[in-house]
Amino acid sequence: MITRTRLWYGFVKIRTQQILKRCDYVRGVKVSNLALVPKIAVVDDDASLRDALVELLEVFDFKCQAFEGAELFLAAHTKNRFDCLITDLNMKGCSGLQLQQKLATLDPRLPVIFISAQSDSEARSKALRSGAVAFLSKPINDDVLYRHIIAALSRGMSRPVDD
Amino acid sequence: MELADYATDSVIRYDLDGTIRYCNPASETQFGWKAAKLLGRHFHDLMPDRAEASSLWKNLLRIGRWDGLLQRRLQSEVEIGAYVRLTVRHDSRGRPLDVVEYAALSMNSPVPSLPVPPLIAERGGAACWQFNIKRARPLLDADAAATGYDANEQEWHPDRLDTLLAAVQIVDVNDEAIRLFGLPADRDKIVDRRVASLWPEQSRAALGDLLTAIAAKTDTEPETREIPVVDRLQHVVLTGWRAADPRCPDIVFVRVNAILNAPNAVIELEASQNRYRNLISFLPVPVWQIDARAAGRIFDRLKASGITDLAAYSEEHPELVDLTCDIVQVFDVNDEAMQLFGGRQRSDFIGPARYLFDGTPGAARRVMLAHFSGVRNHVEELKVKTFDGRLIDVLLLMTFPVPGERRDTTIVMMMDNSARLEAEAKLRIVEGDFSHAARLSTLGEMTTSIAHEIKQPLSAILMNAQTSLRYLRKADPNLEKADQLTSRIVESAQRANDIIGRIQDMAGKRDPIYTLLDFNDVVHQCLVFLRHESEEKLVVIKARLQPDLPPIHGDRIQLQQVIVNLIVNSIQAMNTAPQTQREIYLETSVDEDDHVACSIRDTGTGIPADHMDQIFDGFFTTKEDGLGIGLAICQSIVRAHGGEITAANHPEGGAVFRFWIPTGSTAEL
Repeated sequence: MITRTRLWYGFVKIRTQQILKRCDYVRGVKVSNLALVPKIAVVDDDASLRDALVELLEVFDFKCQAFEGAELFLAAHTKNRFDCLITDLNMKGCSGLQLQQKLATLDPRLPVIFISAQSDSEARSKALRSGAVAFLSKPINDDVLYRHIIAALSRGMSRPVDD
Repeated sequence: MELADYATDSVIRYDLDGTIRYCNPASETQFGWKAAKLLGRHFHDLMPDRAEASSLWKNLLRIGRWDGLLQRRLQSEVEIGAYVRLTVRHDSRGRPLDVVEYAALSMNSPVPSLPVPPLIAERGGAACWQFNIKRARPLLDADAAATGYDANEQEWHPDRLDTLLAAVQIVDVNDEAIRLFGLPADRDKIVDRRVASLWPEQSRAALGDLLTAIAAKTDTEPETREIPVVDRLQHVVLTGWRAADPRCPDIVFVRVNAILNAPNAVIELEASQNRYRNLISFLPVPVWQIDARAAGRIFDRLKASGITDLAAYSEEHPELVDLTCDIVQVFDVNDEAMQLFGGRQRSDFIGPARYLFDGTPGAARRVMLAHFSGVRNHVEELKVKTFDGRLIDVLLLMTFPVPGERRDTTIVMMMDNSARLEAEAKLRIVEGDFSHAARLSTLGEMTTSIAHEIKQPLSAILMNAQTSLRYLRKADPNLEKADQLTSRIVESAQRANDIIGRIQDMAGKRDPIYTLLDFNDVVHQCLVFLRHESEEKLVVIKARLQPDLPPIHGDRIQLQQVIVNLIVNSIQAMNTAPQTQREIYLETSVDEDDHVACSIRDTGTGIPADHMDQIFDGFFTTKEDGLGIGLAICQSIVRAHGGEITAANHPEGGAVFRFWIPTGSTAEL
């Protein structure tokens, strides 16, 4: 089964909103604006970094929603609501790794990108073993992040949809 | 007189006019005068100077005895030195009868001739003073002119008496005067001083009268004044006269006759004075002897006029301190004192006491207030300027005389503190080094969380900058966004700077700066500092800070060091504890003694009982990479703040460290 979303992901490298909109317009009947733009969830307890990440994702023309902590994200999360999750590793309360564990049962196909201020090799291999798309160390290069988001979205594209 | 014929010393008897009535054969051989030539001659014929001889003779008759070295003129006109002892003999009714002279040739003849003849006998029956009233002349003359002088009516104003006696200079005193008046044994310490500083309190007015009367007279006839009691003396009679020698018109002699109350008193007095003098001069401590009576008189007058708060009075009249410094006189110092001040001559130390207090502002005033308050002792640490230009730290110990003691002697001692203060300064440096090492050690244990904390704002800066560039590089640059993002960059950079500042504070080497602090602020800064460390170790810090703590007086960084160190220790103590139980309870409060208290309790394994006693010892550690100075430093910091720190195990498990610091008002820092 191939959903509308998955069809779109094949063309995701086209970056600008204008082009996107043109695409919408071309396929206007089939594709709604909301559904076409991938939506990324950001979880980080550091406000300045969270805000910076949101701004960067916006300039990439992604839609995104930011959460201060894993609990808040989980409360807002429903299956397929987000196309990708970028989470900080170290957070008060529920850590990035714990969040990943929970999502393994709640939304196993949601691609997860870890960002961390520490080069904690143990946490890194644990995250990657558990299926994380990437484990990026702060400070993060914008191009690198973009490549990994695209990779995550492509991977998500191939995930089975069970609706 | 037959016996005298066989004596080997010269023996001569004069009548009261000075005419020779007898001489023995030794006189002939010693002075080369034929006996027949000597008889009928006058005392002054044996002397090279007639005027000198006649004034000596007059003094002899008034004092009763004279002995000392004299120039003798031989028949051959040659002059020769002789040791001469002259004694006035009295009849059974006490009237002078004649004068007997014993003389022996001096070994060190000829005696150098003196500009002013030795007018006072060195030993004699009566205490004798020789004054120079030259500088007091204007005062004396004014008195005589103004009042037409009447000794009995004269009422002395204390100021005027002080001024007069301060102008009268002591030329000489005899041994009897030294003994009777308890003067310094060393005559050099008496000569040239003002009589004001040595004359007994109760007979000052009498002396003033006497000198005024003598000054008003044109002849050299004696004047007398009687005083019933002076200290231990009774029936004191002062007899004064001007020198007959016209070369010294301002020289006045005063003879003091008195009866001591108790016959043994003299011996006791002498013995105790000797002991006292020996004690002072051999004491291995710098000692000054000061006559502060002049200040005492001023204080008495101030008290009499109703002034009780000298502190306030001296603020209104700062010149009082100045005056006190000048009128309070050092009259003796021991060798140790001279050494301490690097002085060569004792005379440099004698005089106004001002130089003792010059090195420390306010010291003279504090000493004055202590004296005024009537305390026995005054102790303070001060800096003094030595004569060779050094500034040294000393501990000053002053003992003021209390009623019943000789009022003329205030004892000042100084202990050289330089060595102790130097050692203390070195100790503080070592302590500072240790404290610094402990901070670095704590920081070292926290490197991971420090790196994490700095990376956060740096990441935000980088990300915002990159986003900003993307907006600017668009075909249609979004300047509004770029502006907004750049503002965020500034904020984050500021935050990074603050973090680095905090670390620098902890890592830097610095002297403590004591200020008034809100202890809760200090705690809060520590929690910010430790946030990442505790989060990373999955430790929850539950702080309960009592609001409105009284301010404390302390060094912010040092107190932070204590708190950070205790919390880091607690975090480490819970490494092995289950993650759900890693909690630290931090509380601030005001304890029953009004101290600000802080307790830090963890849920770790607690302190093993056998470690409890050593836990604050330096270099005691159970950590492999620990220096073992953290808790020792915590203790020394808390103690330096006037507080105390304790360690215990909590009944519900875990260790609890508790320390308290006095509040700003109670701390003595």
